[in-house]
Amino acid sequence: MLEFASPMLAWWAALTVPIFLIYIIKVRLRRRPVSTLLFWNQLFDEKKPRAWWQQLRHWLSLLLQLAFVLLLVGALIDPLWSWQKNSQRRIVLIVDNSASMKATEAGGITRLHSAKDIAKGLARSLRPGDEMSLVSSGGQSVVHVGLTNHARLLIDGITELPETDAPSALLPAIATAERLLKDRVERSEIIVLTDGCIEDFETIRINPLVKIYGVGKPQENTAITRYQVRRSVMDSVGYQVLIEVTNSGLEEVKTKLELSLEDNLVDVVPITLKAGESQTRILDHTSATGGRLVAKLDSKDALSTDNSAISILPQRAPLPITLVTKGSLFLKSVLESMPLVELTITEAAPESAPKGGLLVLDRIIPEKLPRGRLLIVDPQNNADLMTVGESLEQPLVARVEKDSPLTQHIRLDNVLFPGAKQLTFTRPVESLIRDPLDSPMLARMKRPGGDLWILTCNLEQSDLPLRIAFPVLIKNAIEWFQGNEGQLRPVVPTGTLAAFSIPDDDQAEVKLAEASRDSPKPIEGQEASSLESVNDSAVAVESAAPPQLRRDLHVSSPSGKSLAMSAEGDQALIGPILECGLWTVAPASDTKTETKEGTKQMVGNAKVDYRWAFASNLTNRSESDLKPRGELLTADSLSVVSLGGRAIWFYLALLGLLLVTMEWWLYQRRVVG
Amino acid sequence: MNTSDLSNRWSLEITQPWMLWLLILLVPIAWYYFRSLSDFPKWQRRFSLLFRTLIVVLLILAIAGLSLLSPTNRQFFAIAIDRSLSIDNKSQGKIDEFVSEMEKNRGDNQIAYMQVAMSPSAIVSGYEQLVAPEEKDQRGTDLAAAIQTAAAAAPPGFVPQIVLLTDGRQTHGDAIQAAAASKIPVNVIPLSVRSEPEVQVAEANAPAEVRQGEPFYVETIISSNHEDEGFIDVFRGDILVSNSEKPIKIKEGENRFRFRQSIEQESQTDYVVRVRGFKDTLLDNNAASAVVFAAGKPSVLIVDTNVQETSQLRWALEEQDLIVQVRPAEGLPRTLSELQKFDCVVLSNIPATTMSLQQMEILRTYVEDLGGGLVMIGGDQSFGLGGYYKTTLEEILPVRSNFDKEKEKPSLAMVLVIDKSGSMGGEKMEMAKDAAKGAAELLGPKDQLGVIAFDGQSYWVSELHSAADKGYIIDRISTIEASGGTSIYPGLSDAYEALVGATAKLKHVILLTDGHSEPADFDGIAGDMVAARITLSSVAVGTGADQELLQKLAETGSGRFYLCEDANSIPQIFAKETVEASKSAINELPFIPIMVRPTQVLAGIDLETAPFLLGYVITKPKPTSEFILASEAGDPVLVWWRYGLGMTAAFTSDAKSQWAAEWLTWPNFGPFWAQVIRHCMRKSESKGVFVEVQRNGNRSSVIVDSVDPAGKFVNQATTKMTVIAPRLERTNLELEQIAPGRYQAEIPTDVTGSYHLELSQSVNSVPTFRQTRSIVVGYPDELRLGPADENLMKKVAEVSGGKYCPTVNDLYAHGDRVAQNVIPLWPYLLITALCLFLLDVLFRRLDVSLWF
Repeated sequence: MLEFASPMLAWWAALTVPIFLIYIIKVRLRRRPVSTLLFWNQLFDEKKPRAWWQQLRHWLSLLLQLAFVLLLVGALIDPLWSWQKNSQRRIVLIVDNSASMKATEAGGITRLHSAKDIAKGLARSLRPGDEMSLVSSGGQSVVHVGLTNHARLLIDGITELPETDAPSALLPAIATAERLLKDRVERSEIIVLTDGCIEDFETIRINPLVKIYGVGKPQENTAITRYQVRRSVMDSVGYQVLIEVTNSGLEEVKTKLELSLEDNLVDVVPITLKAGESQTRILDHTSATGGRLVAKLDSKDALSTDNSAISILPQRAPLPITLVTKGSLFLKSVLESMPLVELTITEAAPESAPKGGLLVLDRIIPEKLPRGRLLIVDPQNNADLMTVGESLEQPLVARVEKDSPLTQHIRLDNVLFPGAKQLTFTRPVESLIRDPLDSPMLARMKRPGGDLWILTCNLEQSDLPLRIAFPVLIKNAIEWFQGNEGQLRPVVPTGTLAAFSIPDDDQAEVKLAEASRDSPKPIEGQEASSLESVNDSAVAVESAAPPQLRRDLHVSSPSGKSLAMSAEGDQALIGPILECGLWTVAPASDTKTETKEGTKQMVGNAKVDYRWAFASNLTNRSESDLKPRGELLTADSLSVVSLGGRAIWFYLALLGLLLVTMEWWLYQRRVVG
Repeated sequence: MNTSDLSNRWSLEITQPWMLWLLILLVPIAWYYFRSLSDFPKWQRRFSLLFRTLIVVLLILAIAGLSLLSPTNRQFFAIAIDRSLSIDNKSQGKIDEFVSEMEKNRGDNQIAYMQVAMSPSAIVSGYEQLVAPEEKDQRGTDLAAAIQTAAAAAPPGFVPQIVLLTDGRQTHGDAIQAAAASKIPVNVIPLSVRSEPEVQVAEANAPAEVRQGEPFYVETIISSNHEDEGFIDVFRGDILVSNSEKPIKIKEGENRFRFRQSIEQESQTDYVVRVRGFKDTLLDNNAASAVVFAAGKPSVLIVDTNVQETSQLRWALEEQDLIVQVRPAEGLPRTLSELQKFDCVVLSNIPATTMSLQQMEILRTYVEDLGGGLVMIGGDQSFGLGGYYKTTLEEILPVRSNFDKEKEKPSLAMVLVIDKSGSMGGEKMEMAKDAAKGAAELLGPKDQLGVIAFDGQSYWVSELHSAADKGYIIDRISTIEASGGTSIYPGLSDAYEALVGATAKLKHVILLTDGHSEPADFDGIAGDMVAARITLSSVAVGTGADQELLQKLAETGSGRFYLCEDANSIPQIFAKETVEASKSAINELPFIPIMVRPTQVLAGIDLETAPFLLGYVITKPKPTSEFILASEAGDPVLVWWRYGLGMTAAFTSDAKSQWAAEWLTWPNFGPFWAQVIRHCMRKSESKGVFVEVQRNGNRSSVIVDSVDPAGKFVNQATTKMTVIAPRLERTNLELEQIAPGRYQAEIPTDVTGSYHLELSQSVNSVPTFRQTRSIVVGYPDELRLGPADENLMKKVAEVSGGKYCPTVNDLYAHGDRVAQNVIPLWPYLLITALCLFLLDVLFRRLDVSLWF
């Protein structure tokens, strides 16, 4: 069946009438004076005037001209075969702009560049009535151009398609494509242009709507596939780095891994990797300051994005400790030897412990115990939370709590604590060291506003300070208060959302104490606002839920792109993260962090407060393996898709063009009249 | 997107520029102009050349796709309507009014519609073409997907705008990000959320891990859209633990409550907070759960038909630092969550007929996938005598319930009288046939089995026949088909007559029916059977059976009566009856157990000094099991094996006064059982390991932080996890190390219910840690009560350059944005070419010099 888009234009066929008339018009002879008619008469005799039909002697010329007119009129009415109408396609073109597509091929062009060239060719070959949409799949599914038949729009969209450092998100992109084609699946297809470095290749391949066309050739690549730094639990200035390096190529690779903290070289590790091998290294180092820890592979391969990785080493904050003593050499020495401790010695007890620090009370304790976290050694007088009784009959250590972090690595069996006194408390305590009669010799008490650590032992008379257990005991206590739970700033893998915890300077100390896992501690101030005492199993009304604070933030990507966003509460979800490197976050209209000196470090020429930053790396084995996971259709076969199938008017116009050129030749050579 | 930032100038575009190579045709045209044989005057020939050149160029431009790009401010509106459950029904009026206004002012603009809930619908051109989504698809809101789809649907040649009618309460995706990425103004028209009175349990929070006995708070947030009074019930497992006798007042908005709890006896406890007595509309959101893992002493559940008889075992185990809970058979947990509270389950003389197939499946999952321990202790209702033959539990246990019947045991003649009436059709009949086949398999070669099927009449399916020929009997049983009425008497009568003449020492009849029989002299036939030393047991299938008659028949016939509500348990009843009737599964001669295979598990227990055990159930050890203790006859007494991640043990004698009367006073009784149970129980070693489960939308991530006793991070350890989903699907996966001492895995948690996790870690193949955790997924976020998210809606409008709460006139107002309308010029070019051609022909035919 043939249909016409503009049948009214068939009236233009009426042009054949004037053409025909022009042919039958008798051309009036021109009057021209001549010297004689002798020869002319002879000619007139030989050639008698012809009838009107005899004017058609150049019938071929007329035929060609009529044919030309009819061809063009045929084109104007825009005929379309019904099969042709039904074969109009809807294509969603997914261009994989994931990290692996940044790999350079022979000739120095990237896979994404090749994919873009193919995509542009496909856009140019759209047939009338065809529609195409452009979707990218690097890290997330993004629709760049909706379904359209406008080739230029598509080509512009393809040209502007950005590179990303994120792994491929082809499954979500295909889900998006399926949604776009949801209302008419027949004659719809999803064309994927990818290098095949995708995890879910088989799932995608069996989708009948999807055709996967390949770009690029398998390449050798060595990559950092895991990377994270973490503060040590044992050592307050120590840290440990987990690094995994993978050779996804087919040949053995010898390389060096360089580790630098704030651009200062920390370590160089030579690595030899067999084909397909992964090696994991755990490196131990120390630094109190922390900062940007960068791992770099000394390797020149097809993909450079995965040759370096970045992580943030949290800074260890100094711990202010006030020692109230009339001269305890042992306590002073042991506290001074602790890293990060800022010790102040005084004889008069302050009203509260230093902000974010500890107050150590030696022997003399005020009647009303100061607020904050307290270490009480050898109390001699009563206070509001405890009563100091008689000396213990047998001040011998009988039992040490093994499971508490406060008493870990301590051996005190049968050690004497001379001068130890009977302590009674007004609140429940956890006895960590007990005498044979179960009296507490070392106890921990939870209280609103800060916990207490109480040791009853005369250090001057005891040999405890001479034992290795003493500094360990004090170190355990300080680290427990400090919350050395192994801080880490999780590195965000590209392609995922970054859950960024907004630092709150006012609550920084609280957060430090918050995270101990073995023995949960109350957050300062929380108990103060807590409720009336609650009976077991009684339901108690606490309070109306406070409204979540909404803050406006400014996020800057490693390449300098900025993004405004707002976050509710103390956590912001940023992303998906599509770039590797150091991302910085700042309150949209807050200069507070800029005035906080000492917490910032230099990155390039700019100071960065690392509490307001997070690191992002590719660290994706699948994306770093530059070999396709399955058989891909060749991009050459993609051009076949677009051959033929043009509208009939196109062919008619083309034919008309050839005809009008040929007719010119015939006319000029007098073949036709 | 595609049109927003285009210029507002007119311009031309050639879509197929490569077609311009056709311009080469101008060369022959020029060539033949110069080589022309035409005798027209030169100027006329020049005109002709000009016309012909123009015609050719016009045609080539048409073929090359010359198009005109004209600026237009015609608008395209993609209107996305939120159809999720949170939208107030009254909003429909507002939607209809808005759509009607939009249509009225449409002009030459274009409008398309779509709906959004869990996912966006296809975009359609007419509002009336939208089909209301099903309720299950309304339990979520994905505004981001709606914005993405609407943006992609914008056709070229229009200035696109998206209009989102929503309450802003998204449950999936990030609408702000999608709006920013779309580069199309997203206008938001707020719809109101449900205004019907609604109270919900928004959250129930409890610490993930506590120590046994340590007090902690379970906190809950109750949200309400009105002031109200009602009750808040807190359940620990199935037990109500809150004591609010008076109704509690709640305010509009969020109300926080907390209650103090401590866990004394269980490893894992689930808390459910429910609200009742409030004015409420949606019931699905009236409960929320939290799971608390309690570290401390291991917890053991003993299930015994007679709870009193287990006291000695209980005391003995409690002395050995185990926490013991004793329950009757009915108390056997029905859910995996309930079972997970315990590290080991002891089934002491519990028949299979008291538990459902589902309970057995749960026990299997508990052992195989979650590493729980299971110990079966013998008795006259256990192993074969309990009907465990061919059950799921027999599969788990290290012994088989069938055995080679000894020659000296008395022979049995048994007739199965099975109802084959029409009502028995389908599953019932198939299960009855399977049960009969199972009975045939359990009998020894000296035994005889007959099968009678009855409807209105009685038929011998298989005459009383030696059980040695099991194949024949089983083939015959397969031929039974259900049809006809129900008349029990003829079947019983035939069975009686056949058994009276049989030579066996023991004679037994099992009657199975699901209906009421025609009246007959049942007392008489039962009496005759008793007189002929034939016992009769009866099985009523379903509550429709004549239970009174069947119970009476069993009583008179010195047998047992079973009410079987689930046809699936028929085989267990037949197996139990068969073993019990043959009186061959018990050996009641006193014996001292002999250690067949020395084991560290029983270190310190001198079995040589152990007193006599007075009996045991005869079983057969499975080939790969560890056969530890045997009777003097060589039968298994204590056998265990590893089954999946867990361990099961079979002790074929008992732990109470029937067979172990002398053991109860033995000093090693407590240590023996404690050591056996400790060996089988789940090994929960969690020192230095912290497990954190974070839920994020439909996925959860499990993070294991592992530090060794010296305080060093545990690195490069193998950390595995088994996940049991609410429908008991199992997934095994390995956690990946993501940081020093930290391991992580992500799992989908998109189904409402409990997910049970079994985590284990090993360093150099040495197990270092094992722990279980649970994740409770409550009702969908869509049912979470809350005000419309005005902030989100405003932000969506702001980042995309759209308007919040615009009028229809605001939407139609033309702004600065223009789109480019692509006008293909080929028809105009062809028409011009035609006109020029006419002139061309005219010039060639006429000698215009005559007029000039």
